[in-house]
Amino acid sequence: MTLEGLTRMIRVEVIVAGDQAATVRDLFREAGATGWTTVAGVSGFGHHGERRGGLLFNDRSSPTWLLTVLPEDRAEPLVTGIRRVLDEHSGVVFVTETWVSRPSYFR
Amino acid sequence: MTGAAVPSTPASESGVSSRVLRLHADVRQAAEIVAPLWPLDRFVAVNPLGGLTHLPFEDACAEARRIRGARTHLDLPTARSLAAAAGVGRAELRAALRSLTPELSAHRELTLGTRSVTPTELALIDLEHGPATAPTVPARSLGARASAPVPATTVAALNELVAAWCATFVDDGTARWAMSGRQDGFHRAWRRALPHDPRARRILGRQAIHWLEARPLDPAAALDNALTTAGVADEDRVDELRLQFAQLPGWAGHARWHDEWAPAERTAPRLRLLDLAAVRTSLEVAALLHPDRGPTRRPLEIVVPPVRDDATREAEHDALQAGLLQRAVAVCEHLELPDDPELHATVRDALLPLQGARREAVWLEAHERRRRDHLLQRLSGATQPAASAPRAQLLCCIDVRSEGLRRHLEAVGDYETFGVAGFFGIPVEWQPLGSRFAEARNPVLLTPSNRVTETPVAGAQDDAARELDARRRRAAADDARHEASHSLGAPFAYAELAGWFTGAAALGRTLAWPRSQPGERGQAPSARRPGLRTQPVLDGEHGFDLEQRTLLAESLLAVIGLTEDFAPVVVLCGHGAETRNNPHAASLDCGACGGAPGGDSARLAAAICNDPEVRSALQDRGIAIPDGTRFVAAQHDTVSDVVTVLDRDQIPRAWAEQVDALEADLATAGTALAAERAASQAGMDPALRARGRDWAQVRPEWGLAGNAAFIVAPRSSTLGIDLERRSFLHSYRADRDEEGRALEAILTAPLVVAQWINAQYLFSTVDQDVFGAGDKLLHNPVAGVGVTSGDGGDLRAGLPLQSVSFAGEPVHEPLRLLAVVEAPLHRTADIVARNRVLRELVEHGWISLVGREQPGEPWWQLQADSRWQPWQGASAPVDDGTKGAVA
Repeated sequence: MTLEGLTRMIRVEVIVAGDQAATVRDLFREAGATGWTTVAGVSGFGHHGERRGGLLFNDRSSPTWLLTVLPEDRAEPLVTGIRRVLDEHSGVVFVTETWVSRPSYFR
Repeated sequence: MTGAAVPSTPASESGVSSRVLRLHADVRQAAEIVAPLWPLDRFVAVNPLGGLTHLPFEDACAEARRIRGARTHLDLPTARSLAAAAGVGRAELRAALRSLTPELSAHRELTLGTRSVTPTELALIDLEHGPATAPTVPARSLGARASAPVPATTVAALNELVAAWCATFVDDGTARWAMSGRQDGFHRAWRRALPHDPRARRILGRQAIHWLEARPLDPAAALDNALTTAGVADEDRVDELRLQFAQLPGWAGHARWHDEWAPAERTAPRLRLLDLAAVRTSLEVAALLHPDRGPTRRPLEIVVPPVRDDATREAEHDALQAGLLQRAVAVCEHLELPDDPELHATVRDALLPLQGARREAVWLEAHERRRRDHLLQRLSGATQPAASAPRAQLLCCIDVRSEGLRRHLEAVGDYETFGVAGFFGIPVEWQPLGSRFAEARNPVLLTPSNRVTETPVAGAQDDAARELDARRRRAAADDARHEASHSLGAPFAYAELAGWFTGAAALGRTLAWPRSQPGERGQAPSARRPGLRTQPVLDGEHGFDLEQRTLLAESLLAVIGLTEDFAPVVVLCGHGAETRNNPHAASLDCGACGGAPGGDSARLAAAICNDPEVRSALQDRGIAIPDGTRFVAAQHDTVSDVVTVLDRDQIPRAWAEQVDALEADLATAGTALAAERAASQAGMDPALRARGRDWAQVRPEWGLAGNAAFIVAPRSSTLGIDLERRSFLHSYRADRDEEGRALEAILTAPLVVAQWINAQYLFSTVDQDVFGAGDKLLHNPVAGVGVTSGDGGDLRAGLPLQSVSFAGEPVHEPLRLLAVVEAPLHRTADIVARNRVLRELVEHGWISLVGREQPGEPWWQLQADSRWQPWQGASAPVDDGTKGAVA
């Protein structure tokens, strides 16, 4: 895989309970993220056992996966805010390097 | 610390700093101490401590006591006096003690002088006769903690002022002049208004205003500045912010709604928690720095201790010990022991497990055990056979008020009834004919992605056009009246001209015909719109395609196990409450429909289930609805207990006779139910059916007062039992749900909403001042979002006084919700374990959950560790093992 011509960015992924998703989205916004993706009702298995998503009558309680990509200087404050949320509530955050072809979309 | 320049915080190249992002997270965490507050027309019952369900119930209560100074349980005298009437005795108290304070039972007998007494016996005496628990002294916000504290009168004045600014900011058009700059957020708009507001100058003085004007415009920077100026340490910020929100919990709750629940497409100004915190905290710090309102140019040196320092902890410990000793003395006196400090100390040590507010927790548990035993014993004895070939099936909302209607209808004839969430599983934005607006008609846990509109039925277009024209004329007249009342000179001329007529009409409504006026809301749709014959357009531009409609019908029928044996008529019966002049009207309507009457949802569901294409698709999925079955919509007015069949003229003649008979039986059942309520409910009388039309009536009905249990079972398990309108009933057939999907849907949504309702009633009862909305006689609607008590101040959240008590006594029995589930135990436990929202409720003691495999089998209770323990009732010894655990 060649990365020539691509620009390095930081990808931040968060999986939290649905009722914390609004807080995480606000942190994305405050950190200056220009966009994000939300997938509500994800399922999985982890530290607390099985987690069920896609509930029939409840969009707010099952795990939600949120993803954003932003320049490194904005990623650090964002991760600080998210870690603060995770001090009190269950969830995970993943921070990875990523490369994008249209950096202006993310600045 | 001083009011000098604040050290700058490290910022990224983009200007975003970790400190600011952390502050954002702190604000959101702090706001968990208040419940989100929906606008009044969408009144949604919420658990006042719902932000703290990640904590055990008693810990969350302790936090509410510490921050908000709340009472979280019935006080001891009330719990004791209610115990006699409820049949709560020593058996229940002993069982509660074993459960909550097992260390007491483990202790050996104590020798007190010449007597031998067990610690449990001492605890029982303390519970039954000990002095009341001293109220918790709440923590204080920074202005009150400072070495030179801000006077309480100034704090109260600032709260009034901030509340007024909030109301001006969120105003939906009630005010003549809108606050300028609202698009920039509350903090910036406030800063723009501040120099021109004489009230702020009067309260704080000119220098404080100058200080405020020199603060950053950005709300996060301003809040950081204020907290740093007051010397609030980073680790204390959440606590301090909680205390700030606790000063205005109503507006903070409404801001929480804006931040977490308001529809994304909403364009109105957004009152953010961060802005509110910045405004409130900055004002308090300004008052601290410039206390004399005089010409002082330099701010004072201020010293603000932490929220909880060593001195505070020591004082709390001393108060606990003193309270415990006082109780020990009282217990010794009750036992007629000598007045000996050594004996007092021995008893005090024995009572340690009950220190603080633990006795109130034991009483709560004892009351709940009594209620649980009583209900489970009755359910164990259910033997009435179900109707074998019912003439009609009635699907009612799970609302506790529906239980009475179902019971009385079943007594009238061969009817089979079901319980299901009153939006009938259809999450939708509903746009009635002629309306420019669409409203979500589903529980707030769901976000609707489809919109359904209405159209006149064939041949009714001209009628509809005339009706809409008349409605437009009425709206124009209302607008003109509104304009006239807001113009500078017009009100006088308007009063002169129109006063004669409106005054006479008001007098008439009060004296001559108070009970004959049509209600404003809650009426059945067809009754509310005479001449408007319409039908929903399900497959419009944003509506449901066939696949979606089929899925909705399948979910509705499968979740209650109605997949075969359909009766000729299946009634989908929503509910609403017809009331007048009632800002809290939505609280009496259907919660599952987002605080709206449920008739329209019933109409949608009926239209879907009557759709031949849907029925054909359902047949492919194993649900064969016979051609001879017709779905019919109805609405139950819970004030009058009148049930109205909707769209009556659209029911084909083939079912006319059956619907005629059904209407007659519904009328009989409604009359019997109204008579039962008149005889058994406090303050009700035989004329209760007309209360909703009385515009001076503060208690049109009792709503969901008394709610205590949520039963998930087939109707056969509750048939013939008078559940006293205290149980949410959700139908469920475990044998038709092998994968557990229906049960998971029931437990993760209707049960969750029922718990919110239950907690709102509980806390509104135990502390009206903190968690309730207060006396309705004093309510003033504000800015279209809430009510205040009197002409200003904070928004009042929760239920009004008239919803939970009568003549100074609680009518609602404040108990945590008991969930009863009839299903394979492993299925229930698995669902609880894999859904955090349920696990927290069960593990942390917000609800108790009991289950049995099927009728005739023993009851089991799900423990915090996800294991089942056999239920033996309070009077029997508790099996401390978990024999037979199946999880």
